[in-house]
Amino acid sequence: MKALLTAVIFAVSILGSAWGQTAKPTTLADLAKYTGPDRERILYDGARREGKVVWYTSLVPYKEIGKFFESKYPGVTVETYRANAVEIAGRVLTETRSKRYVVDAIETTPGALMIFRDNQLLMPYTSRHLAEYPDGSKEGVSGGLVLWTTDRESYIGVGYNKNGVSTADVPKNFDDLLKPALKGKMGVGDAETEARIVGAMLKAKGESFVRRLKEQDVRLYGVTGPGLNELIVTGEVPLSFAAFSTNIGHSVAKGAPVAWVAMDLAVANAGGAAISARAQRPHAALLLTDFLLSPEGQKMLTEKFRYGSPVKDYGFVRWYPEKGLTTSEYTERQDRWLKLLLEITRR
Amino acid sequence: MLNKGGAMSLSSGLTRSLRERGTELQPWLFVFTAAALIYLVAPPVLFILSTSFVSEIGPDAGAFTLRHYRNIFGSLSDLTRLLWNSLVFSGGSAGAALLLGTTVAWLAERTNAPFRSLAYAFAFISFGVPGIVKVIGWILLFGPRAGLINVAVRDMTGIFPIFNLFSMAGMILVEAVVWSPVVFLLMAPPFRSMDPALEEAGMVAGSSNWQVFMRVTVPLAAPSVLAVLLLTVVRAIESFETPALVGLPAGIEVLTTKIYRQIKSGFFPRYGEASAYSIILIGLVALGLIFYHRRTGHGHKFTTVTGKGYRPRRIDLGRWRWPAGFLLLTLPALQVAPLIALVWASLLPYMQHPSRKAFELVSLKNYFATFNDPTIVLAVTNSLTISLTAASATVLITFVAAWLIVRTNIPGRWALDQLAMFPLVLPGLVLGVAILKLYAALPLPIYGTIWIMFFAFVVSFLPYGMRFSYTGLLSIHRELEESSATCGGSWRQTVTKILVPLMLPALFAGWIYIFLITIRHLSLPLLLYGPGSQVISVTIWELWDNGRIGEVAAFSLLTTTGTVLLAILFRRLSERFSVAV
Repeated sequence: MKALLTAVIFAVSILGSAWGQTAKPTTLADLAKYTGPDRERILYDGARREGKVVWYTSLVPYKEIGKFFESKYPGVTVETYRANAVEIAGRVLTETRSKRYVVDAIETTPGALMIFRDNQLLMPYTSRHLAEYPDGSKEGVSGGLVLWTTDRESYIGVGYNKNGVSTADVPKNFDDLLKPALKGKMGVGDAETEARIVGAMLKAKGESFVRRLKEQDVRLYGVTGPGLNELIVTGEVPLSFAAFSTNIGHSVAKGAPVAWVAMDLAVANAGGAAISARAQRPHAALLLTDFLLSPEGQKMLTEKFRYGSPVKDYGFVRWYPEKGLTTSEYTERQDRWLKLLLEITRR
Repeated sequence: MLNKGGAMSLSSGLTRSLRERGTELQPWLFVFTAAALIYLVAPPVLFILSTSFVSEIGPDAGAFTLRHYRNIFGSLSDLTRLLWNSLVFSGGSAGAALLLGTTVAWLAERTNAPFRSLAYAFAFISFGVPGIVKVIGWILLFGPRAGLINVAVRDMTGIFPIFNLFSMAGMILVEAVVWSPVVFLLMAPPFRSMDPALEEAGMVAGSSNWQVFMRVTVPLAAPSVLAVLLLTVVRAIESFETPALVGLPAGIEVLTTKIYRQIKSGFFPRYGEASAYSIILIGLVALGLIFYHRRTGHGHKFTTVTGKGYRPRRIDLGRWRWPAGFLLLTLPALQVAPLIALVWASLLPYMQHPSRKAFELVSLKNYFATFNDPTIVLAVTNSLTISLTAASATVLITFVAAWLIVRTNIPGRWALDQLAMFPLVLPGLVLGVAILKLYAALPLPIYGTIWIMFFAFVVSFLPYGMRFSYTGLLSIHRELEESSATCGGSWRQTVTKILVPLMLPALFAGWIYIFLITIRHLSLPLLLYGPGSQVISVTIWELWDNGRIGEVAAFSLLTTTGTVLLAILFRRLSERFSVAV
C-alpha cells in the first residue's frame, strides 16, 4: 500500500512537473516562469502579435541595443524612455498611481529597483540563462524566480590623466590618495553615484581616513560621471577617485591619455533587468529581458559597450553597496556618504 | 465744413466708439486670459505649495508638516550664506548683462556704429547652443589648470592662470555673457521705437549727445531696463548650470545648487525642502514685482512710440563710430569664444590642446556620426512642432494679457502679470514633476505625447513672453490706436493693422527667443519625454551622458545652424508684415 502511494505521488509529481514545463502559458505570471524548450518561440510569436515593447532603461547605448534586438526579432519594435534611476522611479510611481500602465520591461540600477520591489511593481520571472549568473547578481524571491538580474556593471575607482599625474604618483590603494604629490590635483562629482566611493572607503579604511582627505584639497564639480570624465580627459581634473571604468574605457579607446585603476574596493554600479508587474506586452518584455541576459546580449554589452559582467573576474574586489540593505537603510547610508563627501570637499 | 472744434468732437466720438467696442470685449478677454493663465500656472504652484507642507517619506508620509521650512530656517547660518552668494551672483551677473546688453542695444539701434547685424546674428546663435555646452566651452578656455587660453598665456608670458574661472568673478562673468544676448534683444525694441522728438527737443535746447542720452534716453528706457533687470536677477537666482559647473569647484554654493541636491538626494526624489525654497523665492519675486509695478505704474510717462510721425534718429558718433563698433563687437565675440572651443572639440576624437598631434587627428567623423542615428528625424520633427507651437501660444497669450494690463482699467488686471511671472521661480525639475503628475492624472490624451512638453514650455516661458510683450506695448502710445478709430477703423482693423504690426518687432523678439531656447531646453523634456516623443535636446543630453563631447559639439553646432537659419527665415517673414521702425 505504501509502495503504491509512493508510486502515485511520484507519478503525479512527474506529471505536474511536465505540465509546468509544457502547458501553454496564458497569463503574464505563467509566461514569466515558463521554462519549456519552446519558450523563445512562444515569446517571439506573442511579441510579434504585441508589435512592440516599452522599455524604461538607464542604459546609455539603448538605441544600439534596441536596433540589435529588432534585427534579431523582426516585427517587434523597441520604444524606449531613457533616464537615470531616480527619474525612472519617479515616472513609474506616478504612472502607477494614475493607473497608466505604460512600461513593459525595465533596466536600471538597484536604487529604483528596490523601490519597485517594495511597492510590488515587479513580476518575478525566470530565464533559461539564469543558471549562468552568480546568486549575488540575482534578486531572488522563490522557486527559482527572480525580480531582477544584474545584466551589466561599471566600477568606480581612480581615473587619471597621464599627463597630469606621474606614473610614480598613481595611487594603487586608498592610502595612496593621501600622497602629498596629489594635493590639489583631485576632483569628484557631487552625485550620490560618486559618493558611494566614500562608502567603500568607510568600509575599507574607516571614517578618520575619509576625513584626512580634506587635507588634499579635493575639488567638487557639479557634473555627472561623463562630465567629470571630460574634465579628466582635458587635464582640468588630473585625477578622480570617483571615476567610472566605462567612461574612462571609452576615452582610452579614442586614444585619450587617461587610465583607470581599482582601489582596495571597487564600487559596482550594477544595472538589473526586470519585468513590470502590469506589463501590457508580456511576451515582448520577457523576450527583451531574455535577450539582455543571453550570451549574445552579454557579449554586446561587455565587448561593444565596455560594461563589466557579474559573471567575469576582473582581478579586483567588487563591492555592491546596496547588498543586504533595505531601501531606507540604503537611502540613509547614501545620504551619509554624500554628506561626508561634501564635508571633505568644502573649501 | 467742419471747424476745429467739430473735428475734435467727431474724433472724440469715434475714439469713444472704439473704446466702447473694445470695452465690450475687454471683460471676456480678461476672463478668458485669466482662466488660461490659471489653468497653466495654478496646478504647478499648488503642487509646490502642498509639497512644501507634506511629509514625503517615513511613517508619517502624506501628513501635514512644517519640517521642510523648519529645516531651512533651522540652518540660518547656511541660509544666510546661500542667500548672500545667490544675491551677489545674481545681482552681479544681471548688472553686468544689463550693462553690456543695453549698451550694445543702444549702439545697434540708435547710433551709426558698424557691425549691427553681427550683434543680432550672434545673439540668435547663442540661443541655439545648450547652456551646459556653453559653460563647458568657458571651462575649456579658462579652466585654471588646463584652460586653452590660460595655458597659451602661460606659454607666452609665464603667468598662470591669467584668469581663474572657478571663482565668484568667473561665475558672474559667465552668467552675464550667457544672458547679455537676451538683454540685448529685450532692450533693442524700446530703443528702436523711441520717439526722436524728445531727444531732438533736448538737442535744440542745447544739450550735448551725452546729456540727451542721460537725461532723455535713459529715463525713457527706464521701465524696460527695470523689467529686464527684474527678469535677469530672478533668472540668475534660478540659474543652475553656471553655479554647478563654475561655482562648486570654487566652493561657492547658491540656492539652486542646494535645491537641486535636495531633489536629487537619494533614490526617492524629495521635493519637500526644494518646494519650500521655491515658495520663499516666489515671495521674494512677488516683492520685486510690486516694486516694479510701483515704478512703472504710470506707463504713459514712458511711451516712446506716439502718433507724431516717429522715425528714430540715429546718432552720428563721428570719430567714435569705429571704437563704438568694436565695443558693439564685444557681444558677438563673447558668444563666439566658447563656440570656438566647441568647434575645436567637434573636430577631435577627444578634447585636447592644439598641437601637431591634435591637428593630425582633426576630422569630420563626429558630424557624420550624428547622421547615423535613425531617431534624429523624429527628434527634429518633434522639437520643431513643440517649439513652433509653444512659442506662438506663449506670445499670443502674453500679448493679450499685456494689452489688458497696459490698455484697460479692469480691476485686478495686475494679477495677470503676477500669474504669468510665477513660473520664473519654479525650479525646472519641480515644474517638470508637477506637469508630469498633472497630466498623468487628467483624463486627457496628452500624457505620453509631445503635447505634454508643449504645455510645460508654455508655462515655463510665460514670464519671458510677458516681458517682451509688456515692454513692447508700454512703449507704444494709445493715441495710435485711437487715431485708427478716428479714421473709421473697426476694433479688429485697429488690432490687426495698427497694434500688431507696431508690436511685431517686440513680439517677434519674444517669439524667436522662446522658439530657440525651447529647441535646446533640457530639464523639462528630460522628465517629460516618453517613448516616441524624443526631442533634440534629449539627444544632445544622451550624447553628453555617453561621454561623446565631440558629437555633442557637432550636433549642437548643426542644430544651432539649422534653427538660426529658420529664425532668419521667420524674421524675414515678420518684417514683411510689421511696420518698419
